[in-house]
Amino acid sequence: MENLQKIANGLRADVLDMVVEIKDGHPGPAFSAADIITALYFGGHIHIDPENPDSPDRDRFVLSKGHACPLLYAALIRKGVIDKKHKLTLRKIDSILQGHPDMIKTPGVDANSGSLGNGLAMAYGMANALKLQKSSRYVYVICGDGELGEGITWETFINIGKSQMKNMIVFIDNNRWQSGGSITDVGGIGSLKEKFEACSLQVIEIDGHNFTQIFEAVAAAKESNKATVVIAHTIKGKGVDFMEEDNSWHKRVPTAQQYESALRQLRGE
Amino acid sequence: MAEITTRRAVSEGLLKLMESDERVVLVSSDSVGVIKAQDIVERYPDRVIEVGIAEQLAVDTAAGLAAAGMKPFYVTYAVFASMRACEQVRSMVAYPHLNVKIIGANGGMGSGEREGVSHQCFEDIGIFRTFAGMTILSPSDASQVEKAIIAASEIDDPVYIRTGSGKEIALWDDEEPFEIGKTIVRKEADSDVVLFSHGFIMREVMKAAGELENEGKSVKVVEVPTIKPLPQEAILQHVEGAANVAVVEDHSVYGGLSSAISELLSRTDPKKITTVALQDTFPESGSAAELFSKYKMDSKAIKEKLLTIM
Ligand SMILES: [Mg+2]
Repeated sequence: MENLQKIANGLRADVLDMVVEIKDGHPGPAFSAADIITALYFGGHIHIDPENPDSPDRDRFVLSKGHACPLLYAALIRKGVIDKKHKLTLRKIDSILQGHPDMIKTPGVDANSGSLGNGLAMAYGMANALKLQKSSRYVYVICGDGELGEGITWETFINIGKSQMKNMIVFIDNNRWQSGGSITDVGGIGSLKEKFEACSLQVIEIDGHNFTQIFEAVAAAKESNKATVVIAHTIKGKGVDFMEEDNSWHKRVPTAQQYESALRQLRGE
Repeated sequence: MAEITTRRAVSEGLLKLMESDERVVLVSSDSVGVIKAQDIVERYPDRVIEVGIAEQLAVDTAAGLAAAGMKPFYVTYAVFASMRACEQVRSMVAYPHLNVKIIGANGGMGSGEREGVSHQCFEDIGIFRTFAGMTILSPSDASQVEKAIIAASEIDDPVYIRTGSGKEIALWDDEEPFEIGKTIVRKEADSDVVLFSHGFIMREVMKAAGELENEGKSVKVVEVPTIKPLPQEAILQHVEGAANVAVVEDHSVYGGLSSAISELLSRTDPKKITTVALQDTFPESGSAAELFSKYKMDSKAIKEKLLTIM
């Protein structure tokens, strides 16, 4: 677990390296999802062969909150799926690392997410395909909580419940913030648990920064006879004290001093 | 082949594909009935992905199926495919260039007919034509619809196929193939007017051209069932030496085949182009015949328009 924590903070530092280089991007939303992504990619859940990342026999991962993609790129670089030489090309012309995920340009990226709601919906199609192909692989999805304002997400949850798509495990990165402010003030979505339960889904609530709880949730989802949504309570900007719970870091570039301070914190110094 | 409707033709084509390739699946947004495909549901229950009345999800579901190696066909009304799910087709299908086939029923004012404007669609071609890499097919009778479905399955690209209300009549020989990217000369004539058209309004076009011929005035009629990629070379050959070009289509005057041909000729071989299409207005409920008459798109209106340039 200690090692996973180190990996997660390493990915967060990679995100800052990229954002600082291009002076653009979304650190806050990446940091709240960093521990979940780390658990999935480095905790033995997402199986992907770096030599053959397009193999049909792989687990799928869709970062539906696509604006957090520098985090996904960092994970795929660490996995060896994306060559590390691309790291600092994020958002630059001719780069394979687009501002929002591009499944054709970037190896290991399974969906063109970023237009909110659509990643989750596309993941539902992948889950249907894997089921028809009698594959034992899973489709993992991370949705933002702000993203749940998109009607298509509810079209999808209704259908995941209707068809009990058990090869699909959806995490809600419930950091309680969205681009323009708090979820309460802006989206006003209210209680999630009851809504998911009304869609006939098993709901598991966890601390999204606790690896043990993330693993237990995945295990429970796989064992359950119901399709599962994991509400992961998270902290936007998690890992850097001045970013935590400060929504200005939704999309913001740190100064040289802030960057140094953040890297020190992430290294545990 | 016994005569079938343009809607049933879609399911006949799909049945053939589903029999021969188990990767072919049908995505429905409560739209199985649109193509009278209950038999597909009964025969291949697992391969019909029913998402309920949710067109945006249906398109994304098709995208996900294609991304994981399946060959999805999504059927709904043209108006919902092109507008309710517009961004999904653009960002989740066309942008990653996925092998998704979208079939839009009630394409055109005439096919939407009595349903009224909410269920008619005369913007679909204009919208999809702006999506990079999207193939757009507009067959003109039931046999051609069925063959267009099969032809679309043979290319590994996103394809939009415009179909009708089910009331359109057979126009051509059942044995005639459907070849993507080919134009078809429907009436050869020694004329300085070349008319291009597509879809079910070809019936009105042929009637008008036939009447003109009986009056000793001839027009060359070319069907363009592939609107994108536009068969540019063929079109340029057809217009070579012609004084006038006419385009007839059951679509808005903006964005359809007439726009595509205008764009092509304006940069290659500028000619006056006369268009018979839906003007800048929303029509209404009515029979196809009444609508074409009132909105000046029937054979009579086509003939009158052609006479002004002959
Ligand atoms: Mg949020």
